[in-house]
Amino acid sequence: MANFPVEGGRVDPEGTDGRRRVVDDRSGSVAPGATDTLDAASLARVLALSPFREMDPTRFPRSRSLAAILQDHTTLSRFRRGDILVRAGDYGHSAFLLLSGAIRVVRRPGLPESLLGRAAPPRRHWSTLLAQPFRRVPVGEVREPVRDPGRGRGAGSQPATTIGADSGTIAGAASGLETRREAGNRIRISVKAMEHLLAHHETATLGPGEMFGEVGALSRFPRNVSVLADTDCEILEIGWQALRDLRRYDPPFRDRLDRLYRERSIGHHLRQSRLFSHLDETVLGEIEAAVRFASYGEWNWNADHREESRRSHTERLAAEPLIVREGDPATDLILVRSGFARISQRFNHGHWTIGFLGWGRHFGLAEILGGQESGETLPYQYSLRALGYVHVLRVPAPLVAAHLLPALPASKRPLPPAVSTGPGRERSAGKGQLSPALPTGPGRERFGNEDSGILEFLVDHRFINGTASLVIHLGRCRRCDRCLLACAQGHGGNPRFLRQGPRHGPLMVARGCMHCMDPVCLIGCPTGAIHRHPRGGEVIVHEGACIGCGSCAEGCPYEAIRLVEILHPDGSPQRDPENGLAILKATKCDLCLGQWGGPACQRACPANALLRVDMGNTRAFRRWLEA
Amino acid sequence: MPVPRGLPVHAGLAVGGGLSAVVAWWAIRRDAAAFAPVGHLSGWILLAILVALTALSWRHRLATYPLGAVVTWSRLHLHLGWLSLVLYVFHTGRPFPGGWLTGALAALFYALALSGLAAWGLNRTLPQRLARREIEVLYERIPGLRADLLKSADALAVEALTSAVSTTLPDFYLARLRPFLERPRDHWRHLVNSAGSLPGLRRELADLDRYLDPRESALRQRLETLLRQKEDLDCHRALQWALRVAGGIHQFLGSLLWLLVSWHLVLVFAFGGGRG
Repeated sequence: MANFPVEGGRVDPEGTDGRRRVVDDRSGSVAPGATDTLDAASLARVLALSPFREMDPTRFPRSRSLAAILQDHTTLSRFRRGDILVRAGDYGHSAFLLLSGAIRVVRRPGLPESLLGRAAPPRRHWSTLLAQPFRRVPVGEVREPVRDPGRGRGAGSQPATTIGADSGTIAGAASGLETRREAGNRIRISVKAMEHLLAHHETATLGPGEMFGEVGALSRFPRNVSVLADTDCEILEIGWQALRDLRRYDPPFRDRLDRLYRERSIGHHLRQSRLFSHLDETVLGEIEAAVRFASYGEWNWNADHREESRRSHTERLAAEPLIVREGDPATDLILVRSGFARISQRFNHGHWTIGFLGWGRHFGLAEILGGQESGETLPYQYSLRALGYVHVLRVPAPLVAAHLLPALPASKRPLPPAVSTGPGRERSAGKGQLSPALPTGPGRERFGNEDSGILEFLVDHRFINGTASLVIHLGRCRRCDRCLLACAQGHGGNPRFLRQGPRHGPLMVARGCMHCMDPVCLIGCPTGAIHRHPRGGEVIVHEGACIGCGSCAEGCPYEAIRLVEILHPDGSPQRDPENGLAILKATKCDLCLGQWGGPACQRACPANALLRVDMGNTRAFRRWLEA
Repeated sequence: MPVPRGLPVHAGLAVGGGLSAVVAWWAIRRDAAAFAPVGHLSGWILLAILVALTALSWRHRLATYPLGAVVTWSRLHLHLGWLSLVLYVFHTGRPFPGGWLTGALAALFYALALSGLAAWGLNRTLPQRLARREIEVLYERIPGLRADLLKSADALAVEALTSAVSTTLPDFYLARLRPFLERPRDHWRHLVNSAGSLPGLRRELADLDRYLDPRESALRQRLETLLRQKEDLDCHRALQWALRVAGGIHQFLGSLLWLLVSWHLVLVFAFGGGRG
């Protein structure tokens, strides 16, 4: 459900396995067997419901029986009318099955931010910011313990330099929201005067037996709509692991999910794409009906990434699922819906990476255009491989040639590929992609004056995921640590990154949060403490809600998140009064959110040796390399 | 050796500034009386430039304030430094004024300028040399890493002793390699980019191979890897030390200059110039 970080409370957690659990705030541990998890009676009840009762249990392996999947990865919850179930923009990894009651899906326009329980961007008081450089910090990571009125004890702690007690917490009490605490220490957020609120919004009502939230769970895209309880209702939350297994072993369920995805999501994506936005509804409908979609790679690719990054380039390439092979006939236009894909070309006995694609990018347009002009189906000039996890749409080439290409403005038309392929011939450049292969093969300049291995390095390590990757040019860096000092100055005495990390020649990608396009660290956070800020997209940790479980640190493939012990001013660790355990909090770069002027590290470098790079826009990166 | 980035610009500024200073000195020598009022004005301007030059250290301190990028401040600092050299000649009327205070001021001023120039040159060249090294280490971690290397090397020597019949490799290790590994080496050679002890040691180690069996030879190769890593650490230690010291000397001289400038100001207004 909606992951609202709550100061001193416990939100409805979307657990790593989709199970709703009561988190014991006092110890910070997750306590199984809580009220809304599936006990034996609940499990029996769920198994008797559609679609589960129609599933053939014999299709499931003994090690992953239907009952085990449901017991481990689903949860029952009850809501009252007006409760917010799903919040647009949140990252979620569960789908939901409505068992009783009704829900309202808010389509256009979306609910205003003030009604989604999100606070304004956190900003420290100007006097705090002014005093920062002069404050002596003999001990880092000091926080002032706060008392939780609900529990009457001093567990948990508040940053001493808090950016606002309500930051990231439920806000909007004055603007139409109300909160309540329920059994199991659950927080529910309700919209007041729901009918009045939704009078000017396009909504859809779903009833018992209907599913929602599958798009976000399957494609790992932020929720694109908000969902409210229209009546008192009961919902079965199905975690992504259960979705994965149910799709794999039960074809009817897979077909049902795919149909929902097709009905609810594909059209939306096509209309968002610059390539298709000029087409009329009839043509879009025809294309929508013909589009095929597929996912490649592992949804939780981050689990193995650290291990994989130690492999050779050839081994990594071999392990990446092939979406399109170079030389195969170009029968589809590939649209990347989420995740990343590597574009490569055969070179000698290997493959040369010439680019990558992210959300919204396309592949194969030049070949289809060339095929239209030559009257024959051209082969794909490059191979396309999944990096981690990628979800794509495939639009059949005839539809592209018939409807898309004729109406495409000249500025968007790529050059058709040369008829005879192979190194030595010019290639076309797709819009939004990096420059294509140059005639003489690897070794030609690609990133300014640096060697072409930079791209291979960035793609192999999946640094292309970053929107604010911390890149240091070691040929300029004076090792003065002013970047670290600036970071520490803004974060209570402890910097939020390490001036160490993987290298390629003089370039190093430091171990600091890259604020990824696909922030896999969010998967599995039981409280929603780590979340993406809705305005700037920064990935931030709300310390009040963080229980120090370490799932984000463990999940981050770039080792950018650290758990730290919270200390008293005298340097002694703060401890939970219930069990004596040290209190831990996840810390990471927050792009100096709430501070003046943005990332202090980049501004503090006297040698222009540090840059926060958005891998989706490499022009600034190239200019910086050539400076 | 590659030409440091920006050297042509700064060389041009240096030549231009130097020529301007010579012309100013010559003009003032011809008619000192005509230039007397300029002395006070140039003094104030020089003081203002000094304040602006010192502002860079304040900018470093106020790292979280939105005062623009430090790299821009650094460039401005460099250009103002050149300007101050020219203005200094206007102010004093001659490159080397007499008197103990003004003489000391001149010496300190030139020392500060030279230290700034040296720091600028080192900041341009040393990072490139560091970037060519195989490893990248934090300065504070070098002692710990060196200790780890020594431990690994000792372990290899013990392994050579226990697994082989001969003591050739362990003896050589104790006599020639361990002294190299146990503490920082070739500090000044690394600074001037000269070959240190490693090539010689590697040659000796390679010569030893004709007396070793395959097992010992494999250990010898691992030892050689550790020697290269030790050399990288020594190089990092030397060059990162130089980068820190260069900046530190410049800042120290700047602080001293402020002391003397303050005294100079007191004398100028209280005692008509403090000429000694």
